Amino acid sequence: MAGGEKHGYAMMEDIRQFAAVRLGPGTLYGAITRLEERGWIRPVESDDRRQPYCLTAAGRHYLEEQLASLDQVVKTAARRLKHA
Amino acid sequence: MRRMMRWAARLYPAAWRARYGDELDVLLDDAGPRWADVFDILRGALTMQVATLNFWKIAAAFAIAGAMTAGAWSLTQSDRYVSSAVLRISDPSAGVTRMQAWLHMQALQQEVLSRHSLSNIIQEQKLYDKERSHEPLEDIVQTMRVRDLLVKPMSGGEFTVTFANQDRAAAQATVRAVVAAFAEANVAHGKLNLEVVRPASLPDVSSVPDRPRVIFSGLMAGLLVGAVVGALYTIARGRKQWSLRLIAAFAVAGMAIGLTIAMSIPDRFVSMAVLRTSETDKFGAALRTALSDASIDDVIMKYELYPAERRSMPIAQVIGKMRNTAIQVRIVELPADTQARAFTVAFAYTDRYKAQMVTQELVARISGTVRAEVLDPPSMPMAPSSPNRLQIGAFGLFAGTLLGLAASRLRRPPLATA
Repeated sequence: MAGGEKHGYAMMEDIRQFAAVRLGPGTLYGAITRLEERGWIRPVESDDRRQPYCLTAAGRHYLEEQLASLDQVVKTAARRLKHA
Repeated sequence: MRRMMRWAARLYPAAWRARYGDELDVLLDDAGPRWADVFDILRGALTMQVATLNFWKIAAAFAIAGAMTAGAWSLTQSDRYVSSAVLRISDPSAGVTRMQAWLHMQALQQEVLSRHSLSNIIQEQKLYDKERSHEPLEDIVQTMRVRDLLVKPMSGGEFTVTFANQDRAAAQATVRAVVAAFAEANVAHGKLNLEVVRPASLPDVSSVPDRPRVIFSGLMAGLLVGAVVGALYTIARGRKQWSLRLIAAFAVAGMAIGLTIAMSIPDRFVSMAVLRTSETDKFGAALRTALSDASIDDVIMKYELYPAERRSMPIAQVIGKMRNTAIQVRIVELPADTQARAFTVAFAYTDRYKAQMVTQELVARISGTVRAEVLDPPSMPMAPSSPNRLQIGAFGLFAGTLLGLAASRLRRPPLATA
């Protein structure tokens, strides 16, 4: 959703393509429920039967924090591997 | 499979379905049917149900689990059929009192329910085949005597003999054999007549276990435990629908009422002696004399027993109360090759010294007319045998907690003041 709003099936397909993991419908909607409860995503009005979601400002901020933290871990690991 | 996926999706909590149900349906249409997804949805529904647990869900889950456990247990218990016969003790020349009938039946039971007699019946009727392969006959006789074979007095000198077995024909045959043993014992004891009012019945339907009753008991027990667990869970989760003060007040009040009732029940001390006699034929007569109205009246006066009852009811009733509720004479099992019989004589009373003295008196009165050896003299009871105050208090606490939970749940919120 960082790249734009997405409905459930689009998220499932996106995750399958970039992570090579297929999330089941129960797992995906468990995650959507939790993310919405925490205020990190919100539903977007749509005429389609499919319900799209987008990131909220809080969600974007949290995602950026997580990415920065992951980036730090990846850089550190890469540096240590290089000198090993 | 699509139908199974939709059925699995219905297992999500209603509130969740109202919010996400349509979206999930569309996703299932888009993603196509897959077995893995059925299990994924089931797992998601279970996770969501647990995440939205509340008092009623927990209480209902415990109730269903209790009913299912009780049902499963009852299925492991094989059907048992109960056959019964009715016997009557009468005197052809004169009437027979209830007391005479009871004492005569006691004397007959000593013969019929003895280890020797029951062992014969077990072997003749081929009862307890499985148990006999791995349990001593001694234990099987005891099981038969305590659990399966019952002799109960009725009105008018009548007695029922019942026996429960997995085979209805065997149940009937065993009751017939027991009735025959009673008739045989009665011939030896002479004097009174023993007639069969109703012969051994052939039971049509199994009566043990009573499955609907077992399942209902499991349901109710589960509901009670679920109510307490549900309340504790919601309290621990910090939900404000419970009033801890109200629950605690009811619990304390319940315990206080329980303890007050328990304290108002006087202590009962039981003194017991063990006698052995080889004159078994005379023992019944000796017991009859010692427990006659005149003898018990004499004991009551001598030891000034039941002063309050004597003021409020006729002496005949006091005598009946003492004989039926306070005095117990029981057979003690001895090895089969022993000719002698042993008996316990016990008396329960609110004063432990009097309990011991009266037991001593009863032993003396029995030994006066039959040669009996006192194996164990009347004991001095150190602690009361009843009431169990801790148990009554704990019951009061539990009942109070349940009432408190109900009151806390049902109470109206206070009206807002302007």
